Amino acid sequence: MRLDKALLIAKKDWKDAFSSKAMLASLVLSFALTVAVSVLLTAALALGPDPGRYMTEEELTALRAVLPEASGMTVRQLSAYMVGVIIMPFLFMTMSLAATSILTADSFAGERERKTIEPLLAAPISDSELFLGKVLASFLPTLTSMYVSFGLTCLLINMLTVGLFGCLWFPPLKTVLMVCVLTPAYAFLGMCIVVLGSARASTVKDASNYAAILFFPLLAVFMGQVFGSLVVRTAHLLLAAIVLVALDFLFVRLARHAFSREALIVAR
Amino acid sequence: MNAVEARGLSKRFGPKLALKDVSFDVRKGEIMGLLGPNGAGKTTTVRILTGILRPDSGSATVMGHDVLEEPLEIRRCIGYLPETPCLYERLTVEENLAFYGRLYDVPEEELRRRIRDLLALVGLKDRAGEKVGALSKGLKQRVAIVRALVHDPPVLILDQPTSDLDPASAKDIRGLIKELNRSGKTVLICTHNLTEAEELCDRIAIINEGCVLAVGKPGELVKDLEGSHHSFEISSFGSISKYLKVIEGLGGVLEVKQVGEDRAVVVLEDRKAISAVVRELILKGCDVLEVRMLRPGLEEVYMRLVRGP
Repeated sequence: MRLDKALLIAKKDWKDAFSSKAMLASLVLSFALTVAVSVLLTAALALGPDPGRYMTEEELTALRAVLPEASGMTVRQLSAYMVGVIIMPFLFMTMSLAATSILTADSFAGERERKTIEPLLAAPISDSELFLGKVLASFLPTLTSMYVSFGLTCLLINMLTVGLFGCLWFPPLKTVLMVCVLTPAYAFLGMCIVVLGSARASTVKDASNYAAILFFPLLAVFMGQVFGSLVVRTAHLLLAAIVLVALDFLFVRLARHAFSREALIVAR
Repeated sequence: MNAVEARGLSKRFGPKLALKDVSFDVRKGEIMGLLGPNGAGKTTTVRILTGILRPDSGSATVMGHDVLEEPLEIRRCIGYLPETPCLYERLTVEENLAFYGRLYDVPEEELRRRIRDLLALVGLKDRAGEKVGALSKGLKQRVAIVRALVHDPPVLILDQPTSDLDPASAKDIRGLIKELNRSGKTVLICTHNLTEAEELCDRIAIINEGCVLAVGKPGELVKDLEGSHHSFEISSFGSISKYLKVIEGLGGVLEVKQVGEDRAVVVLEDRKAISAVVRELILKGCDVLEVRMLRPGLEEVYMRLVRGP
């Protein structure tokens, strides 16, 4: 498989998609909102009225149980920390799937709707190159936007909370693992599934339904942590990262068997 | 070696048998036409040849490469123009062409030169920077032809290249196809346009309901249909009806039909018998104005094969 061929397809898709200002705006806005919500929430808890006033002792105990590494923190620090390791990674994960979900769903179904697919299928590219190209078309802009916005979030949160923590505390290892490793790995897997769905869907609208399914596992993990029924430790995250990266590789290898040029061209 | 060889290709889509044992060759350097009505199996055939579809049975080669064993090599040998231009409307003409040139591994400098030369060939030299969406149908079709040529393939497969075009644009495209053929390209063209097939093609395969019904040069196909019967149309000054009885009894005359007040069609076993027919008409006082041999055209061959006698 030649990566340069896959990247050619991805670049063509970027040019095509981002020639629409609305598509570019939705990508930028999604991550800008993620940064804004993360920073404002942290700032409100770190600098605003004491969050301890709204929490019972039981609630604080439950929160400390979910975040055992934060046992020595004050209520204010603990609240800001909770945003950084539970809410913010969830926002980044959600946005990484949502920001380019239209582009992902559009990958093959859109080419078919606009009747541009046939010469692409007749070009000297393998199924794997074509499939990977379509996944990278969504994945690379998402990854770039996410890292840039995460960097900006880290900078702003540290600026706002350095006084509260007495050091540059953000991001903790759990957040780094979740945002920088788990989020891309999960987004890549999700995009593979949606691109495969798009290759089999009749329309972009049909393909978009595949994207919606991917939010449920994220929501389950988030709710589990918020309600205290799920304690996520660094070791769990490392294991999840290894599993997800392995799944990504496996999926790309297997996708070429599930991927059918014929299904892309034959009218449904 | 033939440029394209199809042997016993069959393809089924669900309950529908789209191709049944299709076989034909395209010789190097010729323009071969796949002529048939909509839904005849032309597009399915070319999609198999370009490696987009896999045949259920049968085999095919393009420039010696097997469609099932060497799909990537096959695709490099072919410049394919689908039924619609299939261009990215939000990209410019140059971006569309450069994308495909790079997919076909054309070196950058060579690619820029080819795009410039080919756009000049199709009269779009000054439109390279325009968005494809802003071009007319005819111009889009020209860009699509350039896309099929950008990697300089030896074989061109053109699926209905002039459908949906106005007569002037269609004529330009036909001129371009002839020019490309003269420059050495082998062309396989799908069409349901008889005039186009007759004008462009060295040989024709007539296809209907997934079967190849006849293959040959247009003249040969017509000759086959003509068989041993020869028809002549005779026109006269004034009514011809009273003379028809006279020629019905002549030797070699198979049939006499009046087709107008002053015209009749005479079917002869041997065309030389027309001299005796005309002589007899003149002797009986008929003022013969014109005698014209009626040759069946490709249209008649096509209609007879597709719709039956």
